[in-house]
Amino acid sequence: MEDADLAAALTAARGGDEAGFEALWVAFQPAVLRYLRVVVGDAADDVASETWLQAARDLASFDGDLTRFRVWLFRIARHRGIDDRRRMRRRAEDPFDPGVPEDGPTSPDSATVAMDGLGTRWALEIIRTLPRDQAEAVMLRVVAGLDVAQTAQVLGKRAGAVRIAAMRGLRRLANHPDVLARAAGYQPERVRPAQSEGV
Amino acid sequence: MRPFAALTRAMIAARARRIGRREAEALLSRASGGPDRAQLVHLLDLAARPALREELAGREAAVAAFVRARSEVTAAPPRRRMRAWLSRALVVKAVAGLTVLLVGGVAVAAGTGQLPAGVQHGAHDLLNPLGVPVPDADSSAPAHPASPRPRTTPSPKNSAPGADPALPALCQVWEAGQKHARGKDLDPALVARLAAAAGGTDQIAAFCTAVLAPPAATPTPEAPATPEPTDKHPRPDHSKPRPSHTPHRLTA
Repeated sequence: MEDADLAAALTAARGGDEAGFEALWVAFQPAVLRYLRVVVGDAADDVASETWLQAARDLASFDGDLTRFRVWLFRIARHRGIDDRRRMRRRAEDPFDPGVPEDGPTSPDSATVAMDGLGTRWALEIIRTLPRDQAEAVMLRVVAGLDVAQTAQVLGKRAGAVRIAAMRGLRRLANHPDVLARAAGYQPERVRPAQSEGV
Repeated sequence: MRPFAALTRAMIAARARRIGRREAEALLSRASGGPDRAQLVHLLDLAARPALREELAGREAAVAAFVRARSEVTAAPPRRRMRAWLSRALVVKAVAGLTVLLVGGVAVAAGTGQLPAGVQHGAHDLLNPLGVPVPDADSSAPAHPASPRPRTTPSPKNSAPGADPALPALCQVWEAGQKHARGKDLDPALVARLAAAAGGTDQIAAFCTAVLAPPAATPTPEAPATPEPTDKHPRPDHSKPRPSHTPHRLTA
């Protein structure tokens, strides 16, 4: 969906229109879910639901354009994720347990990877091994499609700190053994370019 | 090319050239990725792929939650709730203030005996039990000597039953009210009147038991000894006709 359509959907959703909200959800839910998968792991689905619930409640009082909406939405997601980690810590469980996808090997053959969500899951698990500030910076830049300033707003950091965290994250990823191993069998048939979260 | 050789070459290449600021920005904004960053670009492509069907499975539930949340928000926005609460508090205060003013004014007017007869009598009935001396509408009425006297000597045994001919009927109403809703529905004026006759609200039950007890069954010497001139004979047997007294006693 084009940004202009999404802007119209945002206006409609703020007025209480279901279809407008649905359009926003379809456009941003994948990115929210993937960001949260990196931040809270298996709890991502629940935390994403909480995020959208809060967005639904507060949307009427939100005042801004689509760009600000992105920042606003990911701020909610981030805070819900922080709440969830706090809950987990209180339950004395290890919040950094990466967890293995139940329905597939950790490093599946690259030929099958592009066919379903396994490739995406694999990529998220790799990004999840980064230190949190680097992982968040990479996800918000690459998956949420935010620029440096917007990412800084979501994370509550200065732009310079975000730039450095993202660059360090990329360096680590470039040298990650799984990434390199996968690259060995990687043919440049390429996955479709995924600039925005279009369906 | 064997995979192992490719892996080694890739690792060497990656180590050889670190990602700098400019290249990092190009990769992050998905603008470009050099051919030697194919692995990293592939990873980022996978992470930023278009929506997967499994990721959109909760669509209907999300919309339903939105509708629910919006209906809750529009049903009772906090500001409007606060305003309603404020206005209700104001109304309560205004009504309470008006009541105090009105009752106070009536009490003052009643104290001087300057109200119309009906109102004056009502004020008398209402305020006398509360300890406010209010003259009755007609101070020369025959009821006057009968009613105030026994109230000053509230012994249920001898004085009360004969003090006020309406008392048995009032007691019947009172007892019926006790059975029905624990006295909550009772007219406060009636309760006050009974309390005055009995010597206190907590005495009413015992008082009314004594009033309603048929003296014919227990011909104690007290019954004839009651010095009331108004009624002695009809009491024992005519507990039924007696309510006919009540209307004019209560409303006169």
